[in-house]
Amino acid sequence: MNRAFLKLILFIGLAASVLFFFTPIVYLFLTSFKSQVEIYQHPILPKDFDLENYLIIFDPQRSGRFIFANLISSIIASFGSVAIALPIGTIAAYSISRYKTGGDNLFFMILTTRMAPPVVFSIPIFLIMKYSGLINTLHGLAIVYAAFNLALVIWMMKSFFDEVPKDIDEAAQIDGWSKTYTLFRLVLPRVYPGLFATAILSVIFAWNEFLFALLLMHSPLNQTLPVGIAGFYGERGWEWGQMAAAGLIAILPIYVFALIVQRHLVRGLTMGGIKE
Amino acid sequence: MKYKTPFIEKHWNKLLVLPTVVYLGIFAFASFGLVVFLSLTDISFKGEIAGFNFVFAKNYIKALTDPIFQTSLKNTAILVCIAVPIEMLLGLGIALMLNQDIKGKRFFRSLFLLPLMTTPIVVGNIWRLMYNSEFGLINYILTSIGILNKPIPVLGQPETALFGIILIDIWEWTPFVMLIILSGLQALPTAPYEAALVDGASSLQIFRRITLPMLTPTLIVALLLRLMDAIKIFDVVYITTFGGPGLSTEIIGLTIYKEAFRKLNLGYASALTVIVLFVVIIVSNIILMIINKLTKR
Amino acid sequence: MVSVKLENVTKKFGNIIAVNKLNLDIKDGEFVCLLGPSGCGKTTTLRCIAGLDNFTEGNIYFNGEVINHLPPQQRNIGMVFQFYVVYRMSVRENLAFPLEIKKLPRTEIEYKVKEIAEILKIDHLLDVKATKLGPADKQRVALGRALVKEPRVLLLDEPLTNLDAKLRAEMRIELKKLHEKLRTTTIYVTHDQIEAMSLGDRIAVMNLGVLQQYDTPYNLYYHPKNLFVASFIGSPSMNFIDCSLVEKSDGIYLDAGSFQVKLVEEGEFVKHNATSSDLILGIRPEHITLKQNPDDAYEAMVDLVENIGDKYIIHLKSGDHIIKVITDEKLLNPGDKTYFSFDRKKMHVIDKKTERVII
Repeated sequence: MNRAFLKLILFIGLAASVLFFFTPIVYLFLTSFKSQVEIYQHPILPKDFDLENYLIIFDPQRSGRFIFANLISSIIASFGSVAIALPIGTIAAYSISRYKTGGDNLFFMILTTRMAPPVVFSIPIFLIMKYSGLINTLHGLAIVYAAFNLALVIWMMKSFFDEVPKDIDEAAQIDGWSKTYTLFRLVLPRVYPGLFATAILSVIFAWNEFLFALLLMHSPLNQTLPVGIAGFYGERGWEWGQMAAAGLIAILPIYVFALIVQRHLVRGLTMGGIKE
Repeated sequence: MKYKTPFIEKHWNKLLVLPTVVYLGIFAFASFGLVVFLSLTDISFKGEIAGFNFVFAKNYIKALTDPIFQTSLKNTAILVCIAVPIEMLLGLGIALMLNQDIKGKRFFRSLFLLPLMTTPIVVGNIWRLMYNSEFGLINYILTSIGILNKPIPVLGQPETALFGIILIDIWEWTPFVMLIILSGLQALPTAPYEAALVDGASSLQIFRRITLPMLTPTLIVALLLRLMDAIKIFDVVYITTFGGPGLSTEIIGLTIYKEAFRKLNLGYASALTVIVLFVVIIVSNIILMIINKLTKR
Repeated sequence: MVSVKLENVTKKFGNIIAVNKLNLDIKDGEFVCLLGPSGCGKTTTLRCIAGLDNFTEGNIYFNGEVINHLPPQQRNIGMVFQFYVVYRMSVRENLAFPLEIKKLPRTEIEYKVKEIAEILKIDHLLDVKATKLGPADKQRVALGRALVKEPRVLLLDEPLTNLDAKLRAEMRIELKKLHEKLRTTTIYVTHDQIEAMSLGDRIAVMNLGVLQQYDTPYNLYYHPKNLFVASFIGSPSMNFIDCSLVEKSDGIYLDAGSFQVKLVEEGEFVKHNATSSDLILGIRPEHITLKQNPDDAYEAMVDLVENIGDKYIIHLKSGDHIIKVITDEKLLNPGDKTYFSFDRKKMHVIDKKTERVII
């Protein structure tokens, strides 16, 4: 009885899921081509695919926003944070992988930073940033993002290091190589794909971050994309089309990055707990 | 380099984690210390720190009877308790579907990634568009088909706003659960499955008695991670309802934010923060124990 | 209890033919082994019989009925896999599983579980979690689970390969006794010819998807049909000596270069059936005797002596050929000159081109 019936259910289920998860994104895409008037008149498809909204948002005089500057800020802050967190976290990950440094306590400490709602750090970090002069600076933001990404970097890199057999370290020891050499010249090259994936994933999480960018960045030019987009509300009325266009600008690079590293996505999401 | 610097060699492993410890020490732990300190004051902040008195436990007592805080705890709990189970079930269902032999499995998996990766602010905006009562897709389609007589301003009325947020959370996070479960499914050995086929079991029996028990560790990981993450919801609520209408979508993150940066009561907000952090630490201890027990099996 | 017949069964993976027009007739209650090196198609064949894989062409019959399209659940078979497949339940629950699927009454399930556990000597382990057992016990549980439903056919895919040598020998004996007691039609896949020879009523030797010979162990040993079977069966393996067919005034000879063998009665037959004069002389190490003098024997020099416990494998060098002899006594050392002869009746002549055994 079953084969054909099950296949039908599978098809319906899959179709419904695709519809549910993909439609909103498509809808955003379509909306980005509509002018304010069109939005009311054409609830689904735009009249035509004109890029007017995209041009407007990149022109501060017409839109009142600085989307291009926001884009640059997002890039600087997220890549900057990776530049800080990746080296620091990777060497720590190596240490934990090979020597189980810190044991459960370190594990726990790092786990908590992953788990605590970011808002619990918002007040102290705000004050620290303000009184160290780093507030409203992109490098300051990158430093903060690095702190949050450290847990991710350590987790993922640890799981990659775990996959490199310890034999290599031990053989190097016996051959007389220094530990520095072992790490940087022998083991590290073997986890380059892991480094890449971790870096990309960290960029994604930093890019998508909102709260701290909101708190720490005050001048519009320094604000990141999420903050810039959030500001579309309340300025010159609710320019939905422009907001949609800006949203698309924000998410498309992330989609590309996510697709590039999707093999390692689960590893990153589960803190190295589950691999693919 | 074959030479050794004895000091580096000997303390190698500790040196490697030192930068991390320092970094996190400043940001995570000094921060925490600062928060605890502030929670004992009534410090307020208007551009600069103004006024500073120790009020000790007063903030905490206020928190316990604060109706806003209580509401936000309640709302957060409702959200987590409704959204997470639905995400688990849907995620499991979709993962099972994707685990079958279908063409374009990778394509679908990539597709389902996208909601999860979408910048949360943008997610909020997408759904503001979708829910809009004048031109939003959902109301438009439902009224056109005739299911609704008039459009429902989902995010605009207290009865439906929280559920509107819950739906957004489900949309955003079900792929997360699905990805994890799918990985788990793909890692399962095929041999018990084949043995069960030979033993005469139907697909349902195989799922219940063979697949599900083997999948349990994965399910637990997904559940725990979702529980931890769901509490953190902020961006979406900020951009859609900002806690309203009234307090119907007020969640913990937003309450703390408002107290600290809108009402500028850093002291009180810090106390709220400490309470929330306390809960998180207890939960993470439990999670650590569970993970340890699981990995020892 | 059922007879199994494979008719022209072919299985292709894309362009690769894993099983090539296999024809096999297995009688009710028979223990048949599928024997061959890795990649010969034996496991694929077994999985097709089980219904776990679909085959491209041909038919499979159980008791004369075509079962090609039946899913595994409906074939009423038992299967034991190579890697001890036990469910993560107690032994008892493992054994009960197939019966619970069939929805048999509780009392009957308990009875059958107890019975099979006793036969397999795991009744003392019934409440132990199956995944915690050692490999041999796990296989006993898997075997029990396969047998408890009294299957029509029992399929085994190299079940002993992952056990250590001693356990393997013990389990082999247990399997043989089990079959004698239960008489279930059994199909057993292995690459170990000793296992196959000791367990099988008949053995199907396969290579590269093609059936080489399907016969009793005795016939495979004494009357191999082609070069592959001759080389695969027997340990240490048969000696193969390249030679050519030479007709001399006093008869037909096999010329191996360093020695010649006169073909007496068989000469005409060989000459008639050979496709060319390129032949291979096959003789098993156990059928060669060492002699002290050259009377009716051929000369050779000792190249290497291997001591394998109570026996010696002596590698003789004669001309370009290395000939292995197996013997009880070590009378020789490398470098010694000696003489060997063999029983003509145990000798085989193989056509080099077609690889078929002529005599």
